[in-house]
Amino acid sequence: MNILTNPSKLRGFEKHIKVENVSRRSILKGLGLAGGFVLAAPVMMRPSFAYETGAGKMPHGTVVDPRVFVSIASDGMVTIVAHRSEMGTGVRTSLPLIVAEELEADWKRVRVQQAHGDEVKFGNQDTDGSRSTRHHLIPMRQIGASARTMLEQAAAKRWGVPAAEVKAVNHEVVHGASGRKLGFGELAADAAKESVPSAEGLKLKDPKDFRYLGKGEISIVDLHDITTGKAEYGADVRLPGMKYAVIARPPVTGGKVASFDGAEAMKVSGVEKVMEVKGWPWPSKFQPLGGIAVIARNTGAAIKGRDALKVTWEDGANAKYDSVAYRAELEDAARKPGLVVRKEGDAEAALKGADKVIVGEYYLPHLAHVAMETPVAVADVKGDKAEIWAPVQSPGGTREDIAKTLDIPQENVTVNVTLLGGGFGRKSKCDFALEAVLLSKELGAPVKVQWTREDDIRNGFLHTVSVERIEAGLDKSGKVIAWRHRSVAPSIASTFAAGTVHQAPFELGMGLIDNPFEIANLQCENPEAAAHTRIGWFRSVSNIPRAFAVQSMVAEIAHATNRDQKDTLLELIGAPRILNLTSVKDLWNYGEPYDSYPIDTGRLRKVVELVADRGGWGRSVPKGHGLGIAAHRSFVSYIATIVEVAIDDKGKLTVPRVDTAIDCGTYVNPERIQSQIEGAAIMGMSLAKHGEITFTNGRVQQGNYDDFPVIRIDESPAVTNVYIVPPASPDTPPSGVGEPGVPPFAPALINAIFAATGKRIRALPIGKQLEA
Amino acid sequence: MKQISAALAVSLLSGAFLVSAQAASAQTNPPPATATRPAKTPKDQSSVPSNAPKATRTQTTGEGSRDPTVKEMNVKEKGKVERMGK
Repeated sequence: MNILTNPSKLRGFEKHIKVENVSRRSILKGLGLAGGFVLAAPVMMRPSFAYETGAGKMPHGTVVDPRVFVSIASDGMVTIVAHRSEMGTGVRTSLPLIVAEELEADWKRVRVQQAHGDEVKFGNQDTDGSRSTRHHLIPMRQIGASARTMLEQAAAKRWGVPAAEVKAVNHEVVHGASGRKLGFGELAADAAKESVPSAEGLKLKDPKDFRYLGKGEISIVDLHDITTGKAEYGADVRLPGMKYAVIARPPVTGGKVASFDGAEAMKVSGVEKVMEVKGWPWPSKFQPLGGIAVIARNTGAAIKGRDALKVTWEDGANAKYDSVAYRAELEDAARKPGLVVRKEGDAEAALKGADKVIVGEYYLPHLAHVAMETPVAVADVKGDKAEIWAPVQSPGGTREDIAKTLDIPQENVTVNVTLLGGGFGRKSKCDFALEAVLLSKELGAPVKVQWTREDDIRNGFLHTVSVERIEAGLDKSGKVIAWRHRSVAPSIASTFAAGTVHQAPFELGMGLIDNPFEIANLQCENPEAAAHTRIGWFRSVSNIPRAFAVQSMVAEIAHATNRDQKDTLLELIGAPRILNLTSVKDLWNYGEPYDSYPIDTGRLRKVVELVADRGGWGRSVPKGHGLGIAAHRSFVSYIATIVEVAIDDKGKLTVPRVDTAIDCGTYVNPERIQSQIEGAAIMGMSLAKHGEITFTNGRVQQGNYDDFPVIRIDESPAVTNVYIVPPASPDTPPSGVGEPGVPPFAPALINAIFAATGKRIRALPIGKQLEA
Repeated sequence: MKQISAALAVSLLSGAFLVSAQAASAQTNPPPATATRPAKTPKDQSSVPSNAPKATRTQTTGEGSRDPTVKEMNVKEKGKVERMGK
């Protein structure tokens, strides 16, 4: 499935495909060259969806206008704008590919332009929540179909024939009766004069005629540059006269500078200035933490200068935050009643009357994103105008925050989006970009703010810490008749609101209150948990601890009742049905309408059965090996994973094989799905085996890959097989791919370890728990 | 031919040994701060004595922002995440 295994398919693509930023200057330049499709004022068209999604409710919604996203030059080169950020998912290939498909453009004659941050023009640009394809499959098809229709209309007028007699085919418009043909370039100028077709009358292609979608035969447009070192990330941006800065930030969340002495730092060769950076009291959205900036002629000098700084901090209210003590508090809370957030039947009574009660407490520590590329931004602020180059997941939000922070109009802010060397939710927060604009404004010069790995780990927005306690009551036959799940974890909402002690609805909806099990007495509770550091989104978010707990408990029940894990899982999922969660007051469904994306236990069952069949569930394995299974619905996709582990006499853990089945509805690029699941297995393995951020005296104790490791090649799963469930129909809504692969990995791994060794791991990371 | 193979094997083994030795050394003697590797813990950074209470599960510690712009940004973002997740 990997396109690299067939290099011949790549030949001829690379020289034609370019990825560029669409700055205002380049758009104007492009217009002059194109002379065809004119980028007029953006028009919000009413989209005609075959199904409804939550796209329209996102800030600035969706823009469906070919004049914003497509331009065609007189030589026929088609330029398609990618308005989402590329962080490894392949999104800036996938979305333009959808447009090209409907446009009948020849992909070899398409170039991709990266949009700058402008949500009024492009619609919502938040590249997160596994929703780019989910929200844009239909809009991008409409854009491509609109442009195709305009080309066809222009050709029909040129030939004096009815539009119904002409058809766009592979970069040309053809009149079948006469055999006449005109290239897209020849028609571009006339097509630009045509009115944009209404969404209601637009004819989309029949999926059976797709040349690209669903095939997995197109490499990502960035592949050549990435593999040859030519790709430009945030750190690659250099401007004339640019200064380089690193910042010493408060080591404790909510802390600030008490005093500093920059004299020694100024003695470092290359250091030009030491200055205080404004910080805001926590919580303050994504505003900078503040601290002391060292400005130099290069980043190395700035780092050395920072090491020479003398700073005294005032640590503030979180100075005593300690991971060990806090974990004990979470465990204590999980053993007491908490806020009831879902109640079916009477779990309390059923647990009291149960023949057997199985209790599991599962711990997941704070986690750091540690994307290969640390945060970095280059800013150039001149008067009341700001331009920035940065690897941001939310270019529109970044633009808005810069404007507010500098108190200038949004129209005066240009956000150029570079490639992201990984994001995982960290780069949805633009604090590093805000630091750069503040420094540039102060210095009157372009500034690059570079975060080191230590900065990234110690001053980021961490994944929450949690204790999940599940009590399962069984009757005499071993059937589960009661289920009580208490989830205790600081909320992401604490990053925006002081006094937050409960999880927000969107967190509760990630594997807690959306539990799909068919159990008569089911209760979910959320005891209080205050945050003492900045909590942020992390790939898969609350689904990670919830899937770990729920799917571990399934295996614990299977073991206690001497049954098969997979059979127990299917029994708990129950009959195929659409869940009607009337008892949940505020069910969050990943921002999607429930009618389009209901909780469908039939689809969950299907991925379990598929992976069991194709992954050889129940096969005999060598001594020291074990199989574990887990399934989970997240980002409105259904996924099931089997992990095979091998553990030697010294407790060394390896993973010879992973099998994953995913049902993500209608999909665009199966090769990208494969790569996302492979990446999820590697990330899941890293987190489960090594991932732990700890605090002592309010300070993060880890700082780099030596004490927060990412698995290397010898620890990586040797084989990851991916099985994609075909969509039930062309109208099956697409669902998430980027994140769903992570949550089932850890419980499948832990269940496999139990099968191999009899050791039940309830606290992550695994660390040294398997040794002797 | 045999001799060449043996020599190669010895060479490879030596290389493996060297790599292991370096790894062991790296674990016990972390390299000093350089231009690209910051100090693990900057020596001249300290904190004033703190009388902060123990950080507990029930005691919130954040401050309500007094800056109206940031206050508005917080409220807007909280509303967004509650509505759309992130």
